[in-house]
Parts: sequence; structure tokens; C-alpha cells
Amino acid sequence: MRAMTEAKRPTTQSYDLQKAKRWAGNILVYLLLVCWTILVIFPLVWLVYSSFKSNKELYASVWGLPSRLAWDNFARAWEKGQLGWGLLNSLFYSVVSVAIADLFAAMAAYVLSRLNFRGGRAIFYYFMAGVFIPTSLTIIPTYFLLRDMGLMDSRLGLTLVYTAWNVPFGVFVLYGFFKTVPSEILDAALIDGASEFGVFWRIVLPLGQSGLVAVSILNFLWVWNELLYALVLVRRAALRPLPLALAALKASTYLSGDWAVVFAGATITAVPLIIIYILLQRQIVEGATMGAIKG
Amino acid sequence: MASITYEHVWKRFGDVIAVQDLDIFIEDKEFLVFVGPSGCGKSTSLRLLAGLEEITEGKIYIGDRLVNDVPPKDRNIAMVFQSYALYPHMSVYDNMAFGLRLRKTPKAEIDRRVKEAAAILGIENLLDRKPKQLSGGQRQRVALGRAIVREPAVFLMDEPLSNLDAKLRVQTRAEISKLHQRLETTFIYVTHDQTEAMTMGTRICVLKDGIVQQVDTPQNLYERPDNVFVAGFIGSPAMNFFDVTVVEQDGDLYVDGGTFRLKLPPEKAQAARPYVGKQVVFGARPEDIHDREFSPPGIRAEPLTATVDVTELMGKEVYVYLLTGKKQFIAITDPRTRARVGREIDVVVNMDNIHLFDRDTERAIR
Repeated sequence: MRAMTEAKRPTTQSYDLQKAKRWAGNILVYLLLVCWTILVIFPLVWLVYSSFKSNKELYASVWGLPSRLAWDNFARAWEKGQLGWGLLNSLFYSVVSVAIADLFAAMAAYVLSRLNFRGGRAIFYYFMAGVFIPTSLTIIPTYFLLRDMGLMDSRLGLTLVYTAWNVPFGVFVLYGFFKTVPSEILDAALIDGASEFGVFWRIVLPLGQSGLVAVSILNFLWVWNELLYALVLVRRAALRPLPLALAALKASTYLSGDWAVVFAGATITAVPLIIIYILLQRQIVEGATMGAIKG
Repeated sequence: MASITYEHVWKRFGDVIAVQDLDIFIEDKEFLVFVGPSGCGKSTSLRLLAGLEEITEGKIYIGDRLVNDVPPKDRNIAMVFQSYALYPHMSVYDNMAFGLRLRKTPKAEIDRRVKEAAAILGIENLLDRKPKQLSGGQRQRVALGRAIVREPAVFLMDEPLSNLDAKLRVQTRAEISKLHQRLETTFIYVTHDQTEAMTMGTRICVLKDGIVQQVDTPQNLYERPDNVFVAGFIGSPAMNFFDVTVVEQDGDLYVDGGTFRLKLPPEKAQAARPYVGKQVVFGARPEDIHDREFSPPGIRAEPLTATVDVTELMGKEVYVYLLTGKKQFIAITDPRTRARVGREIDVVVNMDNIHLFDRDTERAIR
């Protein structure tokens, strides 16, 4: 009898032990997270403050802080790397390819999520394949395709390639998003007088707005960062997007060892991205997790 | 305003037949209710009329116009859904104006109609709100408003009250009936709730497994059900059914259920004569079985003794669950009844209102 009552009652000692274990576990997790954060953030911070150092300072101490702000690094990088063109080109490729891809992805996702037709499933999986195939795998066929179409070294060619890569991810996310719109709402709109396109345009698109925003941001970032296709498909300096311009800048300093200008160029390239990340954090996280939950 | 004709309409989803040979004419300004258990094809029948589903076979006319291939927007109908189906990103005003704007109605006219409908429904103060800021009852009103402003030829309603609480449901039920009288338009209403059907419909179409069981006025469905299903579905609590044998004794006909023997009145006996010696289904509504002590005068009452199983006091009446042999049945009795659980009680059955059904075909014997 005595043994039973003792077993039933949790002792204060075991309770304290549990609490201590939980605390220790938490501390360990936070410690790891802090380490990870430093590991991720530090290169960025290092990049930014190093871009203010002179070459002399850079060679004297790689990790040290600048003694004075060498603003001329940025001017030199801007001119030498033709980063102004790069910025405009990147903006063009990103905005245009994202806008076209959004339109097509949304329409495809709407049709696939709403209409049951023979082969619909197959088309959906075809789009999914586009999400999972690594970009580098298609570089050679894309090269030949563009060459045969006479679109090598052209703004249109690269924009088309980026658009094609943006569509599957858009379909993937928006499909899940549109599926959550109750079909009765769409039926109501049809009866109210909307055509099938009207239902898409006036009801489904506005309701899927946050999905569309998330898709746009993630695709924009991908295009903004893309280097491989640009490297292979574009030769003229006037067509280079920012990452390619930066790569060219780095290559041009190979002999002179002008690292300060490379740091400054990299900072100029990264700043727009960092601003986007800071402003649109919530949508980026939403978009990144959305496919996983709803798709 | 328009009549509706379903002409031998079939709808199949793959191998499943959802609607089977639906053939009804619905008069202009009628309030027709499709009623039946879930999966009986009532919603599908409505969606076929709305143009939201394609007809497999048959024809549907709105007025004189064949609408099989007419898209929903051109059928001049408005529909109210169970889930209200309001556009979440639009204000109440925009929800109601949406259909009119698509039809390029002048702005002033839209404003007039929306405000008029809002006044009818008492939602003038909600026009600026979004649907998520409204209660269920308010949303339902907006959904009705959205239908009203369109001034359609036909109103379609797919279980519009199912998501409301009991009190609001009764209230809105009456309001929809009033709306029908006021608008003088054809209403087609789908519900699984027989009370709704009985209280609102000028005619009711009872469906089961995609097949029409009976189309009739509420009164006739209640008093003269065509088959066992309709008899059991209409009325609450449901009709009691007993397997009995028709027997003849001294020139009179009786139904013999083993533990009871009840004499049939002459009109019923005449219809039951071909069934002498055969088993039939005998139906008596709970409201036609009375505690003998409190039985109303002037009815043709036949006595029956049963054991009280359970009693439920409903206020103005008592539901008494009785056992005769192993068969349970319900009687609605006067609240002064002396029925006590486990004791025997003498009840009487009002034989004028009983029903007999063929055991094989389940059709009424008349």
C-alpha cells in the first residue's frame, strides 16, 4: 500500500531534474542557433565593412575594420564593372520574367485546380518536374535550343529562359493556394454573371493575392541571383545582369589584385537584395513554407 | 418570372447515377422544395438547373427557352448557397453590386437596387463591412440580398439555412417565405429538413437515390404519401411502421400484428381486400396514437395495449416510446398522461388516418 502511494506521487526531486534537463536542452539549442546566425550573418557584415577598406588595409589585415571610409571603391566598381547596366539589366530580367511567369502560372494553376479534365493530373506533374529538375542539368539543351532559335546573346532569349523556370514554381504554390478557395464562391460568381476568365480575374486572383506576392518575391530573388544561364547565354557586356557583371569585374581584377573594388561591387549587388529581404521577410517565409503545407 | 421544366433529366457521375429521369413542371411563381436525405440528388438537380453541372440526358427549360447549353450567367437565375459563398475580399455593398456591375447596369440603378434590397433585409448598416466581420445570420442576409438585387426569373436556394442556429433558422425560414410572397418569383429550394420543406414549399418534390418519390403539396404528402419512404420521411417524429397481416373476421377486415388486432374502417378495408391473408406494412403517425384517457372525441379509435419504454416531455405534449412485443413505436400524448416507464398503458389508434403499404413494392394501398 505504501509503495503504491509513493509511486503515484511525483517527487519534487524528479520534477526539478526534469526542469533542469529542459533548461539545458533549451540552452544548447539557443547556443547552436546563435552560432549558426553568426556563421550566416558575419560574411555579409565582413563584406560590407571590407568594401570601405583600401587595398593596402585589406592586404595588411583581412578581418580588421577600416581606418577611414574609402568611398571611391564604390565609384570605381560602378564604372569599371559597368554595374549601372548590370543593375538595369537585372531589374529588367527579374521584373519582366516574373510578371509574365505570374500570369501564366496563375492561369495554369487556376485551370488545374478547378477543372477536372483528362490529362490534368499529368500536366500538373509535368509542371512539378520543372520545380525539381536542377537548372544546371538543362544548360546544354537550353544553349542549343536558343542558338537554333537565333536568340543567343539577346535580352529576349534570357528573359524567356527565366520565365520558363519561374512558371513551375508559381504553378506549384498557386495550385495549393487556389485549391483552398471554396468552389461555391466560384459558382456564385459564375451565376452572378462572370465568365470563367472573369471568375479567375475578379475572384480567384484577388483571393490568391498573398500567394502571388510570395511567388513573385521568391522568383524575383532567384532571377536576381542567377549566374549560370547568364554566363552561358549572354556575351555582350550591355546585356549582362548584375551577378555576371560582378563576375566580370572580379575576373578583370585578377592581375591587379584590386580586391577593394570587388568588395565594393559585391556590396552594391547585395544591397538591393538585403533591402528586399528586410522589407518582405513575412511574405518570403510564407512563400517558402506555403508549397510545403498546401501543395 | 418563369416556369421551369425538367424533361426526363439524367445526371451521371461516372458509374454513379445522381439524378434519374427527373420529369417535373414547376409553375411560374411556385415555391418548389427538393427534399430528401443526403446523396438523394436534390442539390445536383438544382445545380443542373443553374448550369453548374452538365446534363447527361434530357432537357431543362426556363420558361420556353431550352437552357441545356446556356452558361449560368445567361440563365437569369440567382442562387443562395449553404456556405453563403460571399466574396471575402469585397464589402457587403460590392458583394451585392457584383452581378449588376458585370451586367453593366448604370451606377445609380445599382445603388438604388442594393439599398432597396438592404432595406428589405435590414442590413443597411452593414453595407461597408467585409463578410468576415458579419455573423452567420447577417451573412445569410447578404447572400439573399445579392440574389434579390439581380431581380432574376428564378431563385435557387441550396440548403441556405443549414449553417444557422435553430432560432435563427426558424426566423429566416419565415422571412424567405415572406420574400417569396413579396417578390412573386419562382423559388426552388433544396433542403434535407422536412420541416423546412413542409413550412415553405407550395409543392415538395421528395427524392431518394436520384429518383423522384412524390411531387405534391405539403398537405397531400403528409396525408396521402405514395410510398413507405415518403410516409417515413415527412412528419416528425416519423411515422410508425408495423409488419401486419390483413385478416377477415365476420365480414370485417383487421390488421393483425401478433400482439394487436385493429379493425380497418370501411374505405381502408375496401382497398385492403385484395390483401386478405397477406402481409402488408401498416403505418400510423405518432400524433394519431393517443393515450386512451385523453383521446380526442369523434375519431374512429381502435385500442392497443403497450408497455412504456421511455417518455420525453416536450412541454405541450409527451413523446411516449412504447413496446408491443418487441416492436417499438412512438405516440404523442397529452402531457397529463399517466404513462410511466415499465408500466402498461392503453392507447388508441385513429384508424381514419392510418396508412397501408404493399410489402413488396412499398407503394400505398388505396
